[in-house]
Amino acid sequence: MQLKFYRYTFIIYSAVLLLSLALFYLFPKTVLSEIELDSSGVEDQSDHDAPIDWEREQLGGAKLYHEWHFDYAGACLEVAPADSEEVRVHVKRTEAGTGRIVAEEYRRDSPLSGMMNSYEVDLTGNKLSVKGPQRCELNFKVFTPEFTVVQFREGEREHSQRLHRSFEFFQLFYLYVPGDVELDFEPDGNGHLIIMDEE
Amino acid sequence: MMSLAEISLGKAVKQQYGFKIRAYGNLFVSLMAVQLIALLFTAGGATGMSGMGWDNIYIEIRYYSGTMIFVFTALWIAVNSFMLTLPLFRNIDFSFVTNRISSNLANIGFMITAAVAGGGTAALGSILLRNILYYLTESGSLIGANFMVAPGELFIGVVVGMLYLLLFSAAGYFVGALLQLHRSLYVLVPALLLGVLLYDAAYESALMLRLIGFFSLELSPLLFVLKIAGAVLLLWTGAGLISNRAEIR
Repeated sequence: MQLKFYRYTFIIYSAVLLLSLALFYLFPKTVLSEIELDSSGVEDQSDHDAPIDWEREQLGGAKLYHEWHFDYAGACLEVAPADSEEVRVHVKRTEAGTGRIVAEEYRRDSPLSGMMNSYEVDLTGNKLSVKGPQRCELNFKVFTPEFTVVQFREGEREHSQRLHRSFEFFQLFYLYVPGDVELDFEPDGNGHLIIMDEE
Repeated sequence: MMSLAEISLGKAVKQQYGFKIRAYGNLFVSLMAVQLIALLFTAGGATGMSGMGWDNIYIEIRYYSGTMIFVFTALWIAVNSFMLTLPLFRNIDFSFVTNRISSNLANIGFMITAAVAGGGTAALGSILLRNILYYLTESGSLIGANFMVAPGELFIGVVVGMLYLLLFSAAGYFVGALLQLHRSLYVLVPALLLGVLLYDAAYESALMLRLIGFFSLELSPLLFVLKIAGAVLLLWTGAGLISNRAEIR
């Protein structure tokens, strides 16, 4: 009697495992397949720290994500960070007299690009308020390969490091202001105005 | 009890093996229980977690793997192989016409069966884990890399798992046979193992790591099979020789 119980229990368990196997291979799965673990497409971390041609290094891996256009006739523009989060505004001077202020948000082309919150920009009078992206928390689940499966594969042990590198992400905010508009920036301790080379 | 029946070694081994498979059926149920416990822990995200943050982003990654199911299975087979050498289990063999050789061969047959069952179910358990995570949790955050396992890879996982389990079972069987030599070895062998671990830690000699690496870092399938087969044969032979020296019942 007990022997039958053991036998049937193990048979049921085996059947569940086989059903699960069939379920796994017969039905297509929708997963975040765009997160690439191959390091070939990922910049080396040290590149981000390189002081030479910093801007190009940064924008080299970034794409324009959002753009704001404002007509501005004033002589002075006050740039004001609008929240307690740290905001870095890279300013580029454009041709004088155009009366056009352009704000651009760049993001590194990564799987996270579409999941992040955006900057918020608003021009009221002579005050351009720039609100940094809201803090975003993302949760992912990832499988590490079973060591029995990758026994004969070389280089599998760097998996975690490669995964982290594929997540590296940055957002940059650029402001294009005509050369004849005077800039007034009053940081409240969290903002930084970085003046770039004039175009 | 004496027997006058003439019986070939092959027949004796076959009889004992068949008996063990039936009599130790509960061990296969315990295999299932052990794997389900591992599955429960792993599905809860016990394998690992890491977090990283930038200016306004925080990313939390939970790691999952069927490795824990395999580790639990390895423990199961090592303990059960050890138990085969205990007097309670060993003396059951004397219900049959037997000698040490047929008893050991039947035990080896049982261990091979256990390794095949353990390796197969552990690999399939990792597929069950993937299904549980996919269908029972929020699958939108599941990263595709390593989630899908090609049938060929699964097959390699099953075979490699079986070979590792065979190694663990042979090690458990050898240690069990060794401990039967003298009661004092019940203390001395664990103390020796602990001593090696402490020595490793103190002098960074990594003896154990090198021993594990001898198998786990092998990239050639042929050499891997040869290494496992060699070690297993060595351990089984050692256990056989030791059990021959044990007192006659």
